[in-house]
Amino acid sequence: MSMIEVVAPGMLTTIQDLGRTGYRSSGVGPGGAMDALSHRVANLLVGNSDDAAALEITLLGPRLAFPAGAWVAITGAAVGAVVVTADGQSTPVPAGHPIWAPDGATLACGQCAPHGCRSTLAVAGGLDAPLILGGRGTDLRSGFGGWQGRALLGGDRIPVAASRRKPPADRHRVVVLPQTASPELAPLPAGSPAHSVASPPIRVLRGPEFDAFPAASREALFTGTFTVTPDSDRSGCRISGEALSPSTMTLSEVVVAGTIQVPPSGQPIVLAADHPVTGGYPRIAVVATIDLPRIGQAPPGASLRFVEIGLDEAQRLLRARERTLRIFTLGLEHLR
Amino acid sequence: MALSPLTIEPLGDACLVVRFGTGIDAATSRAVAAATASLAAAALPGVVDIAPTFNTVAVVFDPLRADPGHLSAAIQARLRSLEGAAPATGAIVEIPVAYGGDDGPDLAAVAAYARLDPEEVVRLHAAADHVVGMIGFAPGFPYLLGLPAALAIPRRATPRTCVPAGSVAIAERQTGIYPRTSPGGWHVIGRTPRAMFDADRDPPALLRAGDLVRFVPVASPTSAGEGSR
Repeated sequence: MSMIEVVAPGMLTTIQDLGRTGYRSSGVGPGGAMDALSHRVANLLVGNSDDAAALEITLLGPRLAFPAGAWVAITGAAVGAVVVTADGQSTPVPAGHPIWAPDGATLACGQCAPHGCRSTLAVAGGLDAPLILGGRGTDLRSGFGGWQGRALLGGDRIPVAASRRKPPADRHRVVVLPQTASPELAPLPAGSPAHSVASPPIRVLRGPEFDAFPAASREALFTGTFTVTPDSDRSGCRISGEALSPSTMTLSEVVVAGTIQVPPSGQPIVLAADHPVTGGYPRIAVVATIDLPRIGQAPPGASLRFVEIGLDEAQRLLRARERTLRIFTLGLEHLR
Repeated sequence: MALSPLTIEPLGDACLVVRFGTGIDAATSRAVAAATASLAAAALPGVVDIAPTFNTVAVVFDPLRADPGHLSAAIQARLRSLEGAAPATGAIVEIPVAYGGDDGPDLAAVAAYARLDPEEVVRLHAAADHVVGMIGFAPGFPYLLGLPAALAIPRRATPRTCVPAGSVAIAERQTGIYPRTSPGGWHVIGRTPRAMFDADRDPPALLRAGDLVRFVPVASPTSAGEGSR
């Protein structure tokens, strides 16, 4: 079996897929890639099914060795990756292009670009992590899944499943494949859009306790600008801005990824992939599924604004993106 | 039994919350347990997960495969068909607990607060029927209802930074059991060797909402090991 070897792990590199379902009643949340769109695109680029296990890189990327060559693709935040062949030749990995990392090559990543904080690195065939509770992703809070339930460490040797994609004729040369040419698909190959001050607001739906908040707080949610704080992690994106007056909630209730909770401090928490399944803070709003990847990409210091949409609009947006992904997938198959 | 939900409301664009009550009471718990079992068995199209809480059942769906309006109607129809059905009954699970000492560092404080002997606290806690209200906070963590009123106590003013795995702790009118070593704000009165959560087991949590738990005092957490399962 093929494998990749971790030379240096980066800041927090974990194996992720599209998460677990069916175990909330045991207290197990979804987990999975923080930027599911980039995850899916990276997998599609190397010929995997979109939910195959891949590496999620956080802020500072790893250095990986490929004893046997492999097709890889990197999406999400730009991470300045280069492939260095056994004879010392160095080739940058362009975002959103499948690239052949030759036999004996290493792939070195730098820092995630300032406008995103996570990158997905997919390997053709998918990472062969054990299937636990229906998922191959790492649950860091409970210490199971992925690679031994933890972030990667130097010396780890991660098995890679057999790929449907053929190696190039010369296994010792770097090969970069073109991505699909259609301009309407331009935003997809690199994955999720970057964050900047000019980024459009994050689309949210009213939460169950929205009406329990004072009018000033409801207004502040949609007029204010919030800054992502450094204590954000895979369980939640903590944001600070004009403090929202806390409301009260008597009992813990269910929460989902994207739930915006307001703890007594008045500084909201946007729950992310590794969230607990229940929470006791009032839920002022919930991020629409279409924009969850943007929460997963929001780096410390990023500015976030929120705008309200309805359920119908949330569904329409999601269906439209899914159509684009389908066309993109078909385009990739035509290239082969 | 009445299974009519009070409301069915969306939580974002991929979850519907079916509410059966606003507080914690036995009738609500039974309705939640029955609805959870029924909706799980119904396997409604697009539904990917079903999770009970104290007074709601969350129905998580794939928004590309289910329309929230249609799904809400399907849930109501399903629950209507259950009116009059026998209430769901949970399993009865015995949990061995070593009370006090290093295993239950807060037992003395709880006894002082309740103006009881520590032995009486243990006797009351072990004599009560505890019902699993929900699993949450952490994988496998049960919120157990049924703590005797004489033992009700506010949460610790300062949460402990490190509560060992297996710790049995109380707060307000509830008991919880910590599946993993973690921070916690409840009063730790004992410790069990039973694993609350095991990812290699299916279901991974030892307990389910609706189960009845009885605590059995043992001398030390190692004197009643996993073999008692």
